[in-house]
Formats: sequence, structure tokens, C-alpha cells
Amino acid sequence: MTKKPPSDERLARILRWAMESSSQPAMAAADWLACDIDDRCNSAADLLLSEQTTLIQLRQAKSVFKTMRIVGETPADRRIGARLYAASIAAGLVRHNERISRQSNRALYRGFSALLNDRRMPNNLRDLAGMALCVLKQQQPTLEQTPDGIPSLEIDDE
Amino acid sequence: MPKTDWSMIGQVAGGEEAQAAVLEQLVRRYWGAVYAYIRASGHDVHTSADLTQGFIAEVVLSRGLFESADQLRGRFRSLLMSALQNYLRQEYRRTSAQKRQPVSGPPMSLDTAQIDEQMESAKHSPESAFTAQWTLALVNRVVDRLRRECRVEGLETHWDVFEHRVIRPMLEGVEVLPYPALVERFNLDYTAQAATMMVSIKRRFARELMNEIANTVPKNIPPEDELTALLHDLERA
Repeated sequence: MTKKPPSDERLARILRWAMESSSQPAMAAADWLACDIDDRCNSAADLLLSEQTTLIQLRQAKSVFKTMRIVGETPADRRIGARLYAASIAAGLVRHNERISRQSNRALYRGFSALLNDRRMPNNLRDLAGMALCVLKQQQPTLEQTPDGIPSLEIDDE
Repeated sequence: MPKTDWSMIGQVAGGEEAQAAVLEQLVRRYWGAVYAYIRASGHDVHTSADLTQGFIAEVVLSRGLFESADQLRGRFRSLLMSALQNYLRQEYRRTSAQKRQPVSGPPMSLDTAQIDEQMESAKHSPESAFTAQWTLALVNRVVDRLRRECRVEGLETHWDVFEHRVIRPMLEGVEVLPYPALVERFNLDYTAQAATMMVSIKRRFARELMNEIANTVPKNIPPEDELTALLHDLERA
């Protein structure tokens, strides 16, 4: 293997890790996971909202965010992991009309609602959750809502 | 805990017993940035190595740059670059060429190959060459320290995943090892586990990098400011 010295651009990217992580560590971790799946993306929202993202990549995203939700180092990691896990499934439904989860409709409903209601999450991901809820309702118009004011934080484990 | 540059400089100035070792450590940290600046100023490899030795011998050792450094004057990076610029101006004015040898022999041998290769692959101003080598030295210190810490804490596999997936491709330009290969090589259960390990160490790396940057600035300068300045200089190159 040939060793190449790092370019200024790569050194700057390494420095940016410190910048990203110091401002929003949990979201930075999620963004890194997303960029690791597709290096054209700058963030988890980029990956999950892009029309270029394939179903295979969404399944990978679902898997890593599910792991982050379970083993994340901080409560913020686990919360963002849960939201992005839901967002990955939502993206499959909305962008590809594919269900990439074996969760029940009720569990999906709770997960999407939690994302929709989480004001700390990017608005475009919350919109995605709203669209996914519409798809779910079209598939099952009688789907019951979660109890008022107590949205579930997580989708149940698969 | 790693020592800050300023606390190390204080040790040199204070004349403590470990003065020589601390001085050598400081010189080892920063000679690359000095050499890169000189090289990007247009000097050939040999002259650059010679001038680097001269700067270390005459300004750092004989005139006691570190001993006379004042933390209140600001960033250590700026102090070093400014001293180097003054030295090069004085050298330029010298009429007779002198063989530069420190009083007690060269302070260290300079392995300039990697820097020379880097200089060839990018057009640098002296300032940006200095910043690039300064940053690389920072990053390498964090790599060495974190690798050691991971070993001590039983996180070797975490480190290995991070190294093969992230840090070696970034620093050495080698291919990124795909997750299935990582899972197989390190006996992991599944891909997402490897990804989580990678992110866990990357986050720690980012934290350590910020600490390392904080070590090079006085307490009244937020490390984020120095980080922004470094990024600005690198991206301007």
C-alpha cells in the first residue's frame, strides 16, 4: 500500500470533527454514521432525505441508528438514535414505498409521531415523519392514535 | 494528563531538572512546521534542513525562545512563526554564508521525506505549509495518545476499527476497509456494531483534539477560536 501524506483538505476534515462534536455531540455522531454509509452526504438528514439514497443504504441506516438507540453512550445519543431509526423507516415508506421494518403499524405510528413531535430534530426530518404517517394512514385508515400528549419515544425492538 | 505547551515552556523557563528533555520534546513537536515554512519559502531540501537546524540552535536553544516566551502574548503557534520569520529575515541579510552547526552538535536529525512529499503534492505559502505541519503534529499526537489509552482500557478492537476505517485513510491515503472485512477480521457480530465502535472512538478523538488545541493557547483564548483560525488557514491554502 502506498502511503500518501494528508492533504490540507483531509487535515481540515479531521479538525472539523472537533468542531462538530463540541457543538452537538449526539447529532455529530449520527451525522458521522450517515456519512460513513454515503460519503456524499454531510448529515444524517441529507442521507435520509436524498432521493439518491438507495433502499440498501436506508436499511444500513436503520441498522446503525437502531444500534445507536440501544447502545448510545448518552441519553441524547439514544434519543437521536431512536428518532433516526424511525426516520430511516419513514424514508423507505415515503421515498421507495417500501416497508423496511417488521414493526407493527402501531409501533411505527408511535415512532413516527415521536419524531414529528420532537422539536429538537431537524424540521425536514419531522416533515418526513408526517408524510410517513400519511402513508401509514392510507394503508390502514383505522390506525389508532397514541394517547394524547404522551407520544412514545421509541419504536419497539424488532 | 498531557502537559500543555505553555506549561512545558514554563518548565524550560523555570530551569527544572527535566529542562533538556522538555526542550527536546517541544523541538520534536514543532520542527516539522518550521521546516515546512522554510521549504515553502523556496529553499531546497538541504538548505531548508540547514536553516531549520539553525533556527533551533540559534533561536530556540541559544537565545532561549521558549524561556523568554510569555503566555500573555497569545498563541504559541503565532509566537513560533513570528520568531521564525525574524530569523529568516536576519539570515537573508547575512552576507557571508556560514555553516550552521549548533554549539553541541545538531539537536536532532530531520526526517524530511514525508514533508517534502507533501510539499510536492500541494502548492503552499510558507504560512499555510507551517499550519499544515502544525496541524499534522497535533493530530499525530492525539493518534498516539488515544491508541495507547485504548490499549490500556481494553478497547483495542474499537481502536483498530477506527484506525482502518477512518484514521489511516485520512492520514495515509490507504483504502477504507469495508465493514464486512472489519467484521470478519475483528470477529465482530455485525456491521452496525463496527460502525458504532468507529463513532465512539471518533468522538473521543474529536474531544482529545480539542484538548490538544487548548494546550497550545493561553487560557484566555477559547480553543474553538484557535480551531477556527487553523481551519481558516488550512482552507485558504
